[in-house]
Amino acid sequence: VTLRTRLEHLDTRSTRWLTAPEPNAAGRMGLFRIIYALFYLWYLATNPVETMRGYRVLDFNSIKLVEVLPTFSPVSLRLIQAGLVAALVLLALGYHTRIATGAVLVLGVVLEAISASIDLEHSTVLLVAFIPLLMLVDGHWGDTYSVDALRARSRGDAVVSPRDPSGERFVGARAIFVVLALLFASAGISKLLPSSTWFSHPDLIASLILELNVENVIEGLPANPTAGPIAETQVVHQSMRLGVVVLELSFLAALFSVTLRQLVIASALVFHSFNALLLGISFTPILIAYAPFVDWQGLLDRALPRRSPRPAPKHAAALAPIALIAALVAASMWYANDALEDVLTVGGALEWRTIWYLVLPLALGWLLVQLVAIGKGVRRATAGPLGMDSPP
Amino acid sequence: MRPPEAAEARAPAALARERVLATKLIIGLFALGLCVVSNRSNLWPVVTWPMYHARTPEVPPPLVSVTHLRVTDEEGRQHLLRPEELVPEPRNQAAEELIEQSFSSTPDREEWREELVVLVERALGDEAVAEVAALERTWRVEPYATPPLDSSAPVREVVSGRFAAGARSGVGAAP
Repeated sequence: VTLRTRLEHLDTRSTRWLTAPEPNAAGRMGLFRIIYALFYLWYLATNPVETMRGYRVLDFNSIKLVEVLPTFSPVSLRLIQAGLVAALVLLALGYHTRIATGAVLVLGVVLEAISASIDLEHSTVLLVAFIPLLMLVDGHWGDTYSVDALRARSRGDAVVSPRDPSGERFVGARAIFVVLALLFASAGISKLLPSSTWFSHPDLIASLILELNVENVIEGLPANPTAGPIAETQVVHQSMRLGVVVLELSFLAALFSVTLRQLVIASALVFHSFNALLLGISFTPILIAYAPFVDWQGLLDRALPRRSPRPAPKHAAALAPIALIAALVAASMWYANDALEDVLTVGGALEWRTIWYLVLPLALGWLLVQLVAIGKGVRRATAGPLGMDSPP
Repeated sequence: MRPPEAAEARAPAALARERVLATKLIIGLFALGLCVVSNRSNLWPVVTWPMYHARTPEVPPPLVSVTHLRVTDEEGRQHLLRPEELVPEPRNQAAEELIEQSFSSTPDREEWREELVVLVERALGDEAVAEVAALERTWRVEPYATPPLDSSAPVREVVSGRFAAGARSGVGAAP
């Protein structure tokens, strides 16, 4: 078998994997677009652009992209963020979705690169760079639940059903999961390298939990009641040391099974929730990378089961100026005062840590559902044909 | 010669193939990029996640100290500010670094102080600031207890440096 044949085989298999049908793919991507835009607006509301104004002085990480960009004044930074807000509003409404996605990508990367030059650890590449880039290439998240779709219907173009399971509509989502898996794999592998202290430092997790607990209490966060008991119980903190690496590396394995993918995502959400709520460790923007793998369309159908297809609106053309006005108003408000930020963060109550109080019960429920489904699959497997899904 | 309707039907399929190919290219370049950048950050957004891989945490000692700010506004009122009030969590480490540099003997500390005052004034609701002092606060810690310390009751508070916010240059960092 030549190298060329092997590469062709890999190409065919990866195409089949990327384009495999997914239930409700069209509707899920449309709803994901709205959730993404709202989540991004919330993220911006929790990260005041004013704290970036001294980034040329606070340049702790030399980011090449920031070095090649001009120096932005505080007013320019506010204008860039207002522009990003306008693009996100247009994206949420699905008006000129591809242009809005491109604008979100460019403006978001500029702002986040500046943020990363100050604090690399808490910068987010999935939210600002890879999700919009992959969605720009994929080009399908504006096909449903959008002004674009309504205008296309009123023109008599073919209507995309939200329940369309075509795999082509889910390519972007699967690509997001590959990027996520590669990043998690890099985290797991970095802990296995000889230069890492993860397995060589004695009682690493115990000391880390105690150290973080003291830091958090000084910073005004709640104390972690499990810190002492975990640190004093060798079997627990040593298992956690191993468990973290297993979870990080399991993302790669999850590429080969939908069942494992859903299980790993549910486990990761529980893991992130406990990290945020008990240890004060948060990588909150990662939440959005899991969102495409929730069947939002299925949930909507369960919540509103008796919806009949609506006719195309008679005045679909009027939606365009409405969308533009909404974007302009939101951008102006963002630039002028903190009113919108206050709405999005519920007066500051919904921030990087407290959002996990909402996520944790849902993640636990999802994990339970996945475990029950796997249990049923195993029972079926022992009784007859294998019920589990097969690798691509 | 292909009938026109067949050509029309082919167009979306060809577009879909191109999109899949472009997606694969992005993933391939990203995977390659991860191998190239290793733990370096300068090629952001192509970065790895070496999270906590080189930390050397220790069980906290009986006494732990942290630097906060004691700010005097132009009305003479004093305010106690923590770094996370200048830059919200989880990015408060930037504020900690800013405070440390502002009270160090580094030659460009005036630049740091200028940024610190801007963030302080913002935290105080655009209140004009007269003086900023570094306050080293020490707590007695019982690491295995819940809570491990009483944050409202530091055992020691020492001003380790101060500067006048209005005329920053020439004002020393003397305690």
